[in-house]
Amino acid sequence: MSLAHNGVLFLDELPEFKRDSLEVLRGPLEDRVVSISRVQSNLTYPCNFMLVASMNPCPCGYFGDKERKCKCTEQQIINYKNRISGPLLDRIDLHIGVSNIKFENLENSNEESSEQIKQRVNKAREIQKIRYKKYGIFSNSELTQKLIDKFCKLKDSSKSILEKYFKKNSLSARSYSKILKVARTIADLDESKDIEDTHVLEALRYRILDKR
Amino acid sequence: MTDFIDIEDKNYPESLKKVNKPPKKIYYKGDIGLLKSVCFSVVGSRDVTNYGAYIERKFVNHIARRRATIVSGLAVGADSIAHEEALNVGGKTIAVLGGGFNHISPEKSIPLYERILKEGGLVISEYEDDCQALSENFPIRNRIIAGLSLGVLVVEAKFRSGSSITAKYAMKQGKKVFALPGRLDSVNGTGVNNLIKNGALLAASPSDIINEIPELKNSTRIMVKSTFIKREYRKIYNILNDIPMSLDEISIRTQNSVQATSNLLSLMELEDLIDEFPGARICQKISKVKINLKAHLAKI
Repeated sequence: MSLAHNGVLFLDELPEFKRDSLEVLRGPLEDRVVSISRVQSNLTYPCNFMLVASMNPCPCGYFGDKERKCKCTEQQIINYKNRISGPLLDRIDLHIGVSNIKFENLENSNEESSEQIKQRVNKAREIQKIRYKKYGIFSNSELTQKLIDKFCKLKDSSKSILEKYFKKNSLSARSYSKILKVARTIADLDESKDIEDTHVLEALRYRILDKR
Repeated sequence: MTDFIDIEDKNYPESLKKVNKPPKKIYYKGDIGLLKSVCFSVVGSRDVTNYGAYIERKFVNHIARRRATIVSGLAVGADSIAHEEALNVGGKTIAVLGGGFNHISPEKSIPLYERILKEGGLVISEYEDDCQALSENFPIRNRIIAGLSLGVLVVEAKFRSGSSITAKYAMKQGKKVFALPGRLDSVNGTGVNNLIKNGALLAASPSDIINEIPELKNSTRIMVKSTFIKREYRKIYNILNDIPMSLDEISIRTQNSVQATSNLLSLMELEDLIDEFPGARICQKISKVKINLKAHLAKI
């Protein structure tokens, strides 16, 4: 993990990792340091990384695919998803479902280029940098609870949306602050000063794995 | 111990006395008077497809509104949807268990079981409280489902499945048996199509059933307020059906931006109007009871 310090740790096929190796990610993801205790000594390494992981929707990989038929049983799919524990999922900000790309669309896409996206992202980061200048942090992800209360104020309408969502999916307090931070980031990308309903709603769409 | 009635009881329906080995005692919870109401059974596969569930809901909706008590077996899938939809329109429903009241099976159906009792339905069993819900009990239990009702509708069934057994009991007892035509390339279609070949009536619309059964035809209808869908949701809701559609597709068809569509969909999800499937594909909410995860996988 320490090798990924200030970088990205990418885990492909997340459920294929052993459960206990995944669970040890939890501490470092929160504290941004990894501690190793041996008889002789205690070592602490820095590991401020961004975790990116990918997984299939089911063991065979075709669950939900439009063209091909999935061969897994319902129980297999549930077991597969359960290999990633709730607490670990809680610590992942964005869950995004991607479907197959048709061959026709592989070549000519007139979507936003990476260059353009980079510009937008840089702009949003700049906004955050300026906003948090006094607090010694750089980005929304580093917000503490106190700062969340200060910078991620919600409108009443957004609050009631979140309340409904939480009741429906019975989520933890941790996911609540995660959603707020994500909503804040989406608002920054929009160059909007306040968090609007649409930002909260978009943030909720990145929580697909909450629905088990 | 759970209350029971015996075969001499005034609430014991005549039609049930005619089945093979009528149960000597019926253990029950809920409104025992329902046994003598006009009953109609709806049964089908546990692995009911999204399409099957969608159509079943429409049929049960109409039949239950003709004040028929919907009888089924509390299993996951088609059975649960039958019970649920009957309650949704304010109708009555009877669940026939395959075990004693201390072993409600399957466990997944317990919330539905509680809802049935809360909303004035009836749950019965011929087994004593401590009897396990053994798999061999279920086919035997099906004679009661058939025996209670004037007719049976089979939604989707595999070849030689429990639902086909119920249908066969019903035919033997001289009841009307209806089947929804099944897909030719789906295992869930073989059972129903086989029933139709062997004399079950093909139900192409709810009126096909209602017109065959005078008790339903002559009954007044329960008026139900259609679920109110907010104006801003209607455009999306109306293009959705049982076949999951992608966000892009929806936004193109409603001529709205992806972001606006996505926002609306989030709100609709919160209000339980839609179901979401992996790969960000969305369809109309089929049922609040969990239907099989794989339901929509039947090829589209």
